[in-house]
Amino acid sequence: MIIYTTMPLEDVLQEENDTEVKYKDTSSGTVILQKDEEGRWFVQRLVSSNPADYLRSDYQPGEWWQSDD
Amino acid sequence: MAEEQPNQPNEPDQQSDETAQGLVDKIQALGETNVPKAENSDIHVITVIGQIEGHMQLPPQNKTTKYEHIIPQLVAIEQNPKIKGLLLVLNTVGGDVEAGLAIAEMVASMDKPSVTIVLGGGHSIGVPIAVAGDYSFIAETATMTIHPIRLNGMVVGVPQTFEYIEEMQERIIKFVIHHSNTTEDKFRELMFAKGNLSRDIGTNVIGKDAVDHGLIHSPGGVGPAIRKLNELIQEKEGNMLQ
Repeated sequence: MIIYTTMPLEDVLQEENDTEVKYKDTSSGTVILQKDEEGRWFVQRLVSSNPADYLRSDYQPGEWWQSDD
Repeated sequence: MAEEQPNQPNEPDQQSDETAQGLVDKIQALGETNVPKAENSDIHVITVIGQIEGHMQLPPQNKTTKYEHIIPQLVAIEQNPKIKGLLLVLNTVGGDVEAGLAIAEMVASMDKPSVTIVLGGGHSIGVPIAVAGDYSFIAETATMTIHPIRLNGMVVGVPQTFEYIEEMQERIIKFVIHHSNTTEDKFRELMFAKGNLSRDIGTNVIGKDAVDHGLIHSPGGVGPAIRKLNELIQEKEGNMLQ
């Protein structure tokens, strides 16, 4: 693998951090969820090519993820 | 910014407490209470942000655009008759060469009209993606860094590794010159220029410079990009009718 980037590679490949993310596939795109300090999941980003999906209020970045898991 | 009115009385019952809390959460998260609803669009948008990720998963502090998310979306856009065009928005620092080239090749080989916009930055492997669309835009303040590939990982045989990197670089150069109006000499000159970047060799081209070098078609943002995409869609539909 060759990483062709302007960022210093030590920053890109640095392993020490406590950010926890998971991916949830939904009917309108993949939602990237991040865990906060209290263990709750919130929406970090939506990955979808349909611009209308980005207007869904429950997919807005910062929204708490309501689903059971 | 929305601030709570100090004089407003608190709602006594449980249910409106919950809705009020929901509203406060929304204001805290978004700075507003509601976002508008929209009809399904016939233009689909893909954003390429942060590091482009391919064979290896990068540590999670990186904001990444994943190959496995983008490629199926491109296939879906290409085969869905309701989708007429693709807008690709770039703000990337580069990333995996093979994943970047794969996305660029996919966009370049699509039959449906595609327009790319570089906002903020389209660096390193972002350059071939930026030139892959039928038409490309760059925001006035956006930059593209063109520099040689650097080595990471283990070197077993020096001459072989050197040749491999050289080949990788050739693939990028060939792709960019085939899909933009720049010449090979010009692009190599930008890539190997000395004294422009403080820690590296290469060039940082800003907004209109990218247009002058022939890399990007036109300066502009989202408005001109969507106008151009609609124009390309109409052109294509006109051709199909004839």
